[in-house]
Amino acid sequence: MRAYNEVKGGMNMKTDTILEEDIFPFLPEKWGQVIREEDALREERISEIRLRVGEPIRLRYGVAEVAVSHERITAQCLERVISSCCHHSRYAMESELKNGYITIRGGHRIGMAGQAVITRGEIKMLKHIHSLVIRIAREVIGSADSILPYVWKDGRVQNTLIVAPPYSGKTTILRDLVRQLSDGDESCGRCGVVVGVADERSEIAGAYQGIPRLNVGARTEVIDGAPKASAMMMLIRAMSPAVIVTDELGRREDITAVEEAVHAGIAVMATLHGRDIEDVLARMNKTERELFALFSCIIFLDNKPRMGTVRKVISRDDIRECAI
Amino acid sequence: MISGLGVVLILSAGVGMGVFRARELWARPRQIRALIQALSALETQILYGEMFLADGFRDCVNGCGEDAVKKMFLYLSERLTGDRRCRISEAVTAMQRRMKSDVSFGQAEWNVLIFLGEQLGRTDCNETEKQLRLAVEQLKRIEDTAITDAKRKGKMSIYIGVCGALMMILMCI
Repeated sequence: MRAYNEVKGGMNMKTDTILEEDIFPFLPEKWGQVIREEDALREERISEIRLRVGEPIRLRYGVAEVAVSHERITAQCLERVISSCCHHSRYAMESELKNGYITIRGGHRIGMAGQAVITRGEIKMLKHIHSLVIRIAREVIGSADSILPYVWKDGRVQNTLIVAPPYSGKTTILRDLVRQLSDGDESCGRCGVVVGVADERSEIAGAYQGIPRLNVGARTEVIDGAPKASAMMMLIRAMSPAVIVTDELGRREDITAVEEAVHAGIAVMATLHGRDIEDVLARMNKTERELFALFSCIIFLDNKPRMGTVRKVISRDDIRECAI
Repeated sequence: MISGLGVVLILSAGVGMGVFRARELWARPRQIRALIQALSALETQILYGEMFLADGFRDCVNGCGEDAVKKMFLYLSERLTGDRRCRISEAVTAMQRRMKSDVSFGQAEWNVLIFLGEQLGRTDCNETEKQLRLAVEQLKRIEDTAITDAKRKGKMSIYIGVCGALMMILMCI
């Protein structure tokens, strides 16, 4: 079992470049400098930057967290960072802000915590934001090598569900799967297929102004920023994909869209939050459990010993039993 | 013959100066009109395309005939694209400092722009629409005053030019 951290320093974009180009332009120069200094001392790559009012900057390396600089973050500085991340145009990120996050160029997600403003029973916005977490999206070429044989079987793409807890590399592996399926590999006799990506949070393709910034392959069509279910239906109707890919299934309408795709003869690959099969089943009602019956393969990932470790693979027959 | 030519020359110079000054006075309402059109186009970019302000500033002056107003918006766009940390209000203030001499705006127009710069991009679409409409309304009122001023002072400039030229001719005679 291979973990994708092993490919650090290989063909992939180095951390420095990602931080310098995508993250530091939004942070005060001083903060960029202390993060740069800390990062230079580390072997591992930063996976998360946490900014909290009254606290120092905290960086996450894998599962470990370190505080850098003695300076405390002020509310004004945080407000300025948020404004920069929104390109000083909050109206353009209205729907994302309501959900408590924004995605910036490169597919990096910035989560926020603060006080919710409620209008007519719905969250209108967050005010007095006191905490930000910048999750750094990484393109790890080859991270899906170990699970590709389960996904591409008998000359076609299997309906695949990737289940993993947070920080396990679900999205990174899914992105690499998309790339490999889209580009194909003639040496293995695997031809490239049209892949449709329903990228609600711009995390898979890292699209900026509609154009994917991360390598998702030559035959990949991305619908960016639309709700998963709507995007999947748009892809089915308009783009004739052989595979539809989406991240983090959860709502009832997502499951309906997956059913539609499967019934239309399109393979589906998706991810789901969860530790193991029991954990996932415990959260689902009977109808939602039928979702499992749609998949031919469920892959469980873990972040131990490293992010992206394949822990277990369940095939079609076992899945049917689970669904019942 | 020569003195007749001299009279014609002085007279046309006086009229020319008056017309030139009148044109300058008319530049203000013309530029305010261009500014109103640009802000209306910006509103469309924001409400319809949810475009970022940096891109909106660039695209809202496409086809704008007033070079000075076009330059103002392009400067804002470049400033925001070049430095992601730069706030709209800071960009507007820097633009005012840099371009004050290039445009014929009075303090009233600048005040509208500075106030707009303080508010723009900090709220949702509905609020942004309100702010832009308020700015456009204020600019329309300023435009009316500027047109009345330009009419009055423009005519006066031409008369002064003609009278000045005649006075000079009389003094020469």
